[in-house]
Amino acid sequence: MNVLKVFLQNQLNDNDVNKNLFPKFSFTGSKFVYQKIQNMKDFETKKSFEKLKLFLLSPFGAIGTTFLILTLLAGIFVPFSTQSPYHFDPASAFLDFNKDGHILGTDNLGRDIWARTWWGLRNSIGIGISAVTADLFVGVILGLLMGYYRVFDRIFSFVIKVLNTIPNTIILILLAIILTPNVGTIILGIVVTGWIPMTLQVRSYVLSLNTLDFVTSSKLLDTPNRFIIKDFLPYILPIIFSMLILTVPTAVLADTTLSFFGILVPNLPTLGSAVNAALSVIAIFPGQIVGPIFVVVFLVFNVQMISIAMAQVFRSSR
Amino acid sequence: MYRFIFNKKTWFDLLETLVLVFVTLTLVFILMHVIPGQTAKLANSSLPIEQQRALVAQYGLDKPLLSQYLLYLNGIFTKLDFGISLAVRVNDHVSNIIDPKIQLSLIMALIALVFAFFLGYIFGAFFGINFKNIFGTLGHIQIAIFISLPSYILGILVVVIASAANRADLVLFDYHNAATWVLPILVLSIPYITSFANLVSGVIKNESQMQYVKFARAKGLSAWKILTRHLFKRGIFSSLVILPTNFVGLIIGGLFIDNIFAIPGIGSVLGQAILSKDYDIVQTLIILFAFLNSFSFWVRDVLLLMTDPRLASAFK
Repeated sequence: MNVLKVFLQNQLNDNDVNKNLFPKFSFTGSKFVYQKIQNMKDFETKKSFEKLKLFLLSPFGAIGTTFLILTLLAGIFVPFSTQSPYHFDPASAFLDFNKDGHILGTDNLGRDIWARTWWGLRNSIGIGISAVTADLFVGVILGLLMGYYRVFDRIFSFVIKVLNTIPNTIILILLAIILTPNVGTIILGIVVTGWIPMTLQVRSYVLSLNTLDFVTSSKLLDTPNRFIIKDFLPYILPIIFSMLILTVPTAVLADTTLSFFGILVPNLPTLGSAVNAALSVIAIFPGQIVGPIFVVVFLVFNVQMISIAMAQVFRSSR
Repeated sequence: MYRFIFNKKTWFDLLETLVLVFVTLTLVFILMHVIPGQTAKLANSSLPIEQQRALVAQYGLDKPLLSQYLLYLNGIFTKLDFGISLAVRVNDHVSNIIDPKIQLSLIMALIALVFAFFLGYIFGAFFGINFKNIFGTLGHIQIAIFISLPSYILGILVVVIASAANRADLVLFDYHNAATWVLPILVLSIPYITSFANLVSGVIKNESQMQYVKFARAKGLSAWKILTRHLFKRGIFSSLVILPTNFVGLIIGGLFIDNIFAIPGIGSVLGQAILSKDYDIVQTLIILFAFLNSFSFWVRDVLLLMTDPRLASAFK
């Protein structure tokens, strides 16, 4: 072992060797490229970003991502131009489309549905993005630890197994009723199920990174573990990015799921509350649900397209 | 077949499944009893205070958590008693309330599963055979659109269309009217038709490019015979494997469908129990789902071993 250590040390100290590591032929996606690389780390990162580029240029990926970003931007900026979603007027309840300046009519309390849909989308995006940020934080840290240390892997594999016994929808409902529904508890409910796929993705990627040359040599040279773990971050960046695109809309839609069982934050317009309010009178006024459900369906189709594009990219690059 | 079910690996997995369900049961019990407090259970009910106190004393709600837990386990394992409803139907056993609802939900899920399996198989075989021409492309697009589309969105769309067409009578579920069963079952099964079709078309597409198919074709076996004798068999095997998990998925999807079509199944009881904070019913349903879910994983693994014995060596 000592001989190897000395050998590696000599090699790493030798600047000429270090700078021009081996020029490499490789496949990125379906292309055959020749790359003169500085070191393996840059090379791997480059390959991952190539994957990302393939994804963004494929038809489904391009359309899905563009529409998703447009929807998110619209959800943030359109509410500035609408009426107040809280202003109620029972005298003008259940108005039809395009009457008295209400583009999509009014609901049971005479509130403007157009305004409630956009404000709902904005609030749902707020909930979704906070949940995904928390997912990301937990997922990356736990994923790195699970991939690198055996002990963490054992413990959290068991935790994930226990959580997997209950279907995700049910966990969401369970948490939302134990804790009284408010914005914080709904975010918590989404995170409790949302961290698992993120963690597993990062973990499996880190497990494959463990076999790389620089990790083995760093371990032999007694580099502290935290430096090695820090060096994994640029590799898992594209994975994190692709997971983010998928999980943001899923989290945005999570409160729609909860609203089906009457779990709503009181007095907060969300997509779920808009759908829920329209659903209770759907047999008499079917027009009420058109606006909110269109936004929901649009989001779901974007997710669909993105996940198809992602599956294609990962299949072609294998 | 015997050795695929009764080997060390499957027994160990079954044991692990049961242990996991037990851990889940304990966790759910603790969560349900620690956070809202003992008397919160009765806070929402409209009973007079003396009667509430009598109920608390009768069912031991004032005892320490550990003895309550032991009582609960004792009830489950000796007489399948999952507790008492305190809000939905006061003072009645949870199992009395849930049993008829579960029967209805299981029947609906089973019909939807059979429907999805056959229709999905036919579609999948059609897309798989035609994977080179326009039908295959159309099939791919159809699969892309409908797979994993949440069933509640489909349900709402169907209700809106039915109301717009003045057929709202088809949307309100009636147990004795067969016509009202059609739309809920269709809505439930569409995502699963797509998932079966996706799987079967993929298998047939892949297998038809295998060496043995080319060899059989070169030997003079007709394309139809290759399809019926070899490819269809592989397709059935691989879709058998996802039957148990899809069954549980259909029951979960039924929770939403119940609320949209006003079906008196588990979904309706879960909705009522959540709104009236009837914790024993919610707890029972969660444990039931945990058991069904993890048991379906186990059955899937066994089926996987049975249909593809090559995997047996990998599992050892």
